[in-house]
Amino acid sequence: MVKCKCPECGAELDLEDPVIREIVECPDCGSELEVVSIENDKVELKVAELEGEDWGE
Amino acid sequence: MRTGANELKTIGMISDRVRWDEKALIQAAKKKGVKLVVIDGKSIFLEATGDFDNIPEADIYLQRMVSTFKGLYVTKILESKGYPVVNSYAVSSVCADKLLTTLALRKAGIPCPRTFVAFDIAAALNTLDELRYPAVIKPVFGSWGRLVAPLKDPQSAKAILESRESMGALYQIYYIQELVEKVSNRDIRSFIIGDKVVTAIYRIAGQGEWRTNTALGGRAEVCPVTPEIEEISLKAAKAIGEGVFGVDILETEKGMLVNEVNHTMEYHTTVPLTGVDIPSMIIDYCLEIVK
Repeated sequence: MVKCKCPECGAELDLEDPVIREIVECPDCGSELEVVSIENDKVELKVAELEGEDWGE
Repeated sequence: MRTGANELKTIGMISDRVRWDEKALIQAAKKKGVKLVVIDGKSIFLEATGDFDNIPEADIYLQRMVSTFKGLYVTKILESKGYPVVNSYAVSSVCADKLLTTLALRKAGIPCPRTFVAFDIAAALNTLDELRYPAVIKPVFGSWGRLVAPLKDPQSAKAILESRESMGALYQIYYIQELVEKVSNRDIRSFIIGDKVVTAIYRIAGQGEWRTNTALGGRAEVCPVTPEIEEISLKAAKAIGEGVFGVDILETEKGMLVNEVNHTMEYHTTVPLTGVDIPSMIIDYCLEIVK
């Protein structure tokens, strides 16, 4: 588990095997977050991009 | 350099967001000892007139871009350079466009909701006189139930059609369907990999919602793959081509109708619910293609 902070509300998140560009949800504020860097077990998150009009499956 | 026939094959997974679905593919490949390279679809560039690209080399590419148009173009360019891509451009371009999907299904004789297309508000209202209210309008591109709206009467239809006028050219392709009377407040999503229906779920609309999309709060239950579901799912997939699909099926008193065929299917709800390891099967399917 790697610990990091929600950039929106400051809550502490535990991530398992984080991957760059992984989308995670803050358990406290519900923000959708994206892993932007992983360095020496230090993970940086940013608020994920808003849904685009052509996004889908 | 691409690897030889008997060497270890590399899968290049192109994604713009690593969601549960993509992470599960990474983990499935790891578990199998398969080399899967995660490629950031947003940072790649590709030379259309040559081979000056920054995309990592792979034997086969797995297209998992959440952005439909970007995904389609990347797939097309990679195929033009001779690389296999799952799903192929031929398949993805039909699935991405609801009208092209409807035409492919109709050609194959697969029952689907009665559908009209019009390009002008007056013409759309005329089609509704034939189709009858209530009906449904959907953008030809898009997913997750986004901007799918019921057209309950001429007044609301006109208001909704007018609202689409300010939304860009593609939203003025008025794809209008009958509102299918279903036997219950659910539909079926079946999952096809190659020539097999690997599992299915019921999607049940959430409280106060008529659309069943899980993205809109719909919940899922296991759906047994009956011979009828298997047959219509495989026929629908075959009507589009070979690949990996999520087929949406509506149950009516007159039988089943195919509503949509999805080419970048999501399974974050289905895998934990059914226990069927869809990501692992997708990895196997990719390897089978480049065997």
